[in-house]
Amino acid sequence: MKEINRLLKEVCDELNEIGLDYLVVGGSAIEAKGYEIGTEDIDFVITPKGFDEIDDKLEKSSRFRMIDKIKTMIETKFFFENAWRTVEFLDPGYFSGERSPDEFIDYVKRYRSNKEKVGYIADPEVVFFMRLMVTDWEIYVQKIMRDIKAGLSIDLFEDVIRISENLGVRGKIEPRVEKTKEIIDAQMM
Amino acid sequence: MKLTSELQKSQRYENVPEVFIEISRSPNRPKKKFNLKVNNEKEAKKASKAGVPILWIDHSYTKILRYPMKIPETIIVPKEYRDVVRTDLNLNTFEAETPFNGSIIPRLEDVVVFMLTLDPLAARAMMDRNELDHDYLQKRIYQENLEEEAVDVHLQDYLSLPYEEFDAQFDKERLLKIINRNKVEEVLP
Repeated sequence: MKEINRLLKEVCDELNEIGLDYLVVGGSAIEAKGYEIGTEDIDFVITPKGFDEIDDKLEKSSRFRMIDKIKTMIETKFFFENAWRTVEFLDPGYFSGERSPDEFIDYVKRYRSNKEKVGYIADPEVVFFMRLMVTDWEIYVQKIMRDIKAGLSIDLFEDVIRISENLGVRGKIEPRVEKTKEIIDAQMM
Repeated sequence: MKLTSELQKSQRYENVPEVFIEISRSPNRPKKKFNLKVNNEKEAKKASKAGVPILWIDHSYTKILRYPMKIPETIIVPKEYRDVVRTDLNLNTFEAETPFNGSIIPRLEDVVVFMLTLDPLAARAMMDRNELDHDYLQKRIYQENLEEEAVDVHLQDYLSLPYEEFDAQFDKERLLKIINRNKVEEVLP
């Protein structure tokens, strides 16, 4: 098993142990689907309730160390194979558009993820969608390009549009999708 | 004697897009002559669709290349086109036609080439922070005669450049210190 997937499994085991509900997102979700994109970090979306309780829950674990808690993200370190590795927990409210954060998580769990042994792993189109939802979405264009070079289909953008439609943010996401596709086309010519 | 360039309507265009401004119609010359008026991205797209080699660069590319900074909205055309373009934007030219591929979206390497003329430090940072096509970039730097600007910011760390011919403007340690002041803040890993 690849290191990133071993790390993911150990983090998820620990989260289950301390009772924190989560959804695997970001590059590690794509790696977990078998695409080699070379990510080193692990990212989760957790419920608003989990976001409020995370300090207490992580305190129960000797392998987690809280680093920073900002409005939209909690950065932690997880002890893995003699080193501290970055694990981040994201606030779903940042990505849920017109829906509530809980509805966003429920939607992804039901329709846009697979339940694996380690837990729910978001599909790649969710990862793309989340990258295009942030204010500085341009920063993530190259990550999307990297993932497409690793074998993900450009047709995933159609699913990104569907997700945005469902969450009521199509008007915001569609131009970003178009620009991203144009940039990718220009690089791959 | 003065070499001037001019735009003339090709047969296939029945209607001339509004970005072309008729400048003269000599009785002895059956073809109309035009200037190109481009003051925004939309007009650049129209010109490109009408067959004009033109690229559009704005600050979004500095985010995509992970060195966020404000830059003027810029159009780039082949140097032969300089005299026919009327614009309030920053107008830049390229010596080679290589980067013009029928779209206003530049290759990321060509954004770095442009940045070498605008802010070489930013160009260096972009090299450090992205996986770019070094062969293409090297070829382009020679095409645009930007070897000295490239050596100024030690791009010979990545590319084969005639660094012994020039004195680098920046001490490397100082250079990297300045670059590291502008870090990318990511919400997502």
